[in-house]
Amino acid sequence: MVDGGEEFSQVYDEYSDRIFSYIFLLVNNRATAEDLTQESFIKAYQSFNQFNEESQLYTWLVKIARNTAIDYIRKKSKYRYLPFDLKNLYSEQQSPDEILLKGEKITILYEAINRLKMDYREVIVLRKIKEFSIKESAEILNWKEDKVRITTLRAIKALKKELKKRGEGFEEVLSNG
Amino acid sequence: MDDALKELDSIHRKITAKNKSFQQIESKLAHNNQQKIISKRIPYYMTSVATLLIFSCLVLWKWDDGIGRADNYPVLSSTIMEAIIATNHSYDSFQPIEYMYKKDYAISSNNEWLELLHSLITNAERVEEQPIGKNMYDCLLLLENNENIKLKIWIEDNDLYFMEWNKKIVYKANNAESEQIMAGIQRIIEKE
Repeated sequence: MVDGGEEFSQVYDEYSDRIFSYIFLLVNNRATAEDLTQESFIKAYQSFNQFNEESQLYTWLVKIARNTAIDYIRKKSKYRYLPFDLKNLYSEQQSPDEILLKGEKITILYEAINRLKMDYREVIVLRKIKEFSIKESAEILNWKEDKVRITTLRAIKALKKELKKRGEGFEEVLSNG
Repeated sequence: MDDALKELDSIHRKITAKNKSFQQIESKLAHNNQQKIISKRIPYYMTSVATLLIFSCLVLWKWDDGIGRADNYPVLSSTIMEAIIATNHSYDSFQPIEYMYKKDYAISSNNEWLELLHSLITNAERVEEQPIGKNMYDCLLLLENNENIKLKIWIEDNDLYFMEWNKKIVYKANNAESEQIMAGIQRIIEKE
């Protein structure tokens, strides 16, 4: 196939599931997430010489995946002349089966996250779901660390507010936190 | 809430989907590699084609200009009907025009000789050197299509040369034909 194929195959084996689930949380569609995962790994292969050994390979891959997904969302947005917002794009959609299968509590949480604005949603996915450090999140988002800290606090606050709006069931979600 | 959030970390992905994606990645990378190789070669191919085109244009241009080929005299457009011949020792004048109705020119309408002259002119080859002859003949060829050609003809070292009047391109005739043509010219001139 291509030069360095065996090494690349190992990287794909180890990280592609995590990259897929990260992208899935941004685009909420299995087929699209699979396509964007492919695209992300192709970009990673082609720009591997730009990989800085100081950062983690996984962090670098997530950064590529994030840019790929954001590009896709921007292109897909019907309102390209307005600042795009995932809340507008997905708030009316039914939750995918992959989420529904996890139960009501997770589904409520997932839908509440989807109603947040883009910045909040991204920091929650990175900091709270994927458990990246502040430094790693800042690197992925290309933000300053302070911005990551402040935005995370505000995002959690907004998420709790969103869960409260949902009434029944939110207490169970919050009670675990 | 943290536990609930961590639940979202793993989204089930079928192993078949994972493998299929990897195959598609391999295929796309291989395709991109091929395109990359082709696109790298495109400037080389374009340069080669451009060079070839420029070379072809130069050759064609030279061809049209009458330089750099076997250089036969351009094929006559029509049959020679008459040849009006006069002696002349000057490059600067053309006698058959000036003395068309005077006695020191001769007309040949001998078809056999005119066909031989036609053949001599058509088969003559261009020469780069331009030997100057002392005994020069002016020859006005009247063609069937009412065109005419003004030639200056001379002999140098037993070879027959000619050129169109006021043109600098000299042609050398085939030896076998030139002897007969010169003999014919001599006869025509002497007869007058």
